[in-house]
Amino acid sequence: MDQCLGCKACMAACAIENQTPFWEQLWRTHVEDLEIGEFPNTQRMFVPRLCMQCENPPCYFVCPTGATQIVDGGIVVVDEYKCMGCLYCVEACPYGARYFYTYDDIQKAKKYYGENLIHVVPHVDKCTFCYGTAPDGTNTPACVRTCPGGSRVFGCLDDPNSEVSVLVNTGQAVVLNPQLNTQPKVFYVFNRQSGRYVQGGDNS
Amino acid sequence: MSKKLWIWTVVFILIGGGIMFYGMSYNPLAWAQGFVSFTEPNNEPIPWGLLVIGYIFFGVIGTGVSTYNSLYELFNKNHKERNPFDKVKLRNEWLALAVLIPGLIMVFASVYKPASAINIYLSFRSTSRIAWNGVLYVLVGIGIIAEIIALIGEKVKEEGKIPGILKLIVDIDALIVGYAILAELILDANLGAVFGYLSTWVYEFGPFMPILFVAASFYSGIAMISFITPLYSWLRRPTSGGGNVGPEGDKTVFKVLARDGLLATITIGFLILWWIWLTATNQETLPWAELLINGSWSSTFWVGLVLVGIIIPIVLYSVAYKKESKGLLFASSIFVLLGWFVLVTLADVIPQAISWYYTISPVSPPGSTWVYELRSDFNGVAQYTQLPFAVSSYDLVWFAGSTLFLLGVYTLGVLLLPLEEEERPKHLWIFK
Repeated sequence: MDQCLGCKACMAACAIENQTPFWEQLWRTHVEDLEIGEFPNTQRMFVPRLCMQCENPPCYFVCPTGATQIVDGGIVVVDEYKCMGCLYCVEACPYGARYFYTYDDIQKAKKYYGENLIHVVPHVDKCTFCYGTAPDGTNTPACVRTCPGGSRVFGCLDDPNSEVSVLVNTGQAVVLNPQLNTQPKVFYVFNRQSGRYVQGGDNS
Repeated sequence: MSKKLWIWTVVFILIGGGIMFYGMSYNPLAWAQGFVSFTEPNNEPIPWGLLVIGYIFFGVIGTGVSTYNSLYELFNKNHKERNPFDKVKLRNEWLALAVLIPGLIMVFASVYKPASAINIYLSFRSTSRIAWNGVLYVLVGIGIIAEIIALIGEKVKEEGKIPGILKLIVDIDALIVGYAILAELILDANLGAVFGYLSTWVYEFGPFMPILFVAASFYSGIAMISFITPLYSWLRRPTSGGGNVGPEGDKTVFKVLARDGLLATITIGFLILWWIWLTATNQETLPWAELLINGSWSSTFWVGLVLVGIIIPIVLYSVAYKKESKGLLFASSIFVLLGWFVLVTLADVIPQAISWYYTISPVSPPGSTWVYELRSDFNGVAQYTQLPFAVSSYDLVWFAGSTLFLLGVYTLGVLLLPLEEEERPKHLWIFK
């Protein structure tokens, strides 16, 4: 969290890579701009948000048509052709990571991205860690490749020596809403200073 | 009468169908695949709106009419004279099927790509309540249609010239009725479970909702029968027996309906009381209860549900029972149907009406909470945010179209099927 500048380069990179409907302010990843605490003990924080790629994804369990699927590596994706647009997954996701990509969005996407469209049928859209679109051999999402502050770290949780595994296994990285038992695979390393600020002013 | 009824039927089917055709952007094939512009808006803070409310409203009424009617049929199978609805049971069963039709239409209209609903059956996911809805709607439809055929088959059997398959259906009549009741109750419970299953929504809504919806099926189903039966009593000519089953028989029917309606309304009142009480006395769910008790939905709750849907019907049903009054029974049914619409609106909207809020241990000491919504800047906002409810023009078009369509579909059955006691099937076993 210390390293996020709030520049939103990740949002731009994701929008280009995944043709997300930025004209509607709908994003697969976005950066929350938070002001926490009360003056004079305040702090501005930037919190990058994206699909948590849960191990127990509520969106998967509620999907009636089998459109939401879990692929290799535990990444949650949507089969655009199977999705019927009931929005049950949008209702079920506790992280607000999903939105509907409409017919009008497809038409507008043609204006911005030309005829080489990724999305050709209306469907519920979400972050897929750039599944299938990342450069060969990297598997690294566009937001991670673009982040100028190095705020985003991407790696294999099954590899105990990877950077993300070290952060998680040493307790530095935590998940949002652990009480929901969705077991997210996106973790956050929070600024220790922020805890002191918001608790009421001991800045010594 | 028949000519006027044909005109009524054709006019409403055309008007309702025409409005729905407009709702499809005059292109049903494209609409079914989601390739039209006039559709559900994708930026509503509360995604499930009027069409979800509508399909539950009609779906639960339809199943409730059939369940209530079928229970009397089943438990009086060997003593038909004890069944007060024996002479109108076929009409009630058709009413159930007709009311389910706008519900089914709204199910499809509420999704962006209705044709893709076929994937519910091709790649069924057993953990999804909506997937089960898809299965249960089919099972209930089969049950009600089979019951209608069986009841008409009884009439054919009385004339002694029953075809083989129809005879089989009539012979297992009790089994069909029992199956229909079971499928309907499970569908009602499952519809309620849709509003209680999500981890995003407060946990207290979970197991309570199926119970509420099963009770509501009796509450709304009895009201629908109480609406239609006095109407018939007024509209039908004395030459046809003076109402539904004759003057005295009618009084018995009205009294039974008033008694059962009263019991169902008290049950709903009891459940709502506990819903509010438990929700309001849990610190996690208090914000949702406050919406109903003194928040932005309080007038809808107190006036629309408590007064119109519970207190007034209890009074009217009681007097209707005491005086055997079809006028008061009719009035009670209108209040209950209004109250049921309000109840299902609240059940749909309230769980969605407050944004989920996060508490993240490293940065959230007491008193500070992060607020997350899809689109907002979060600065200076309260602990949680109430989301506005809106009815889209797309929703309105489909709600109006399918409801008007119902008026024509119901009378189409009245014209074609031998629903009344004195009517006999002549063509293709079941048609007049």
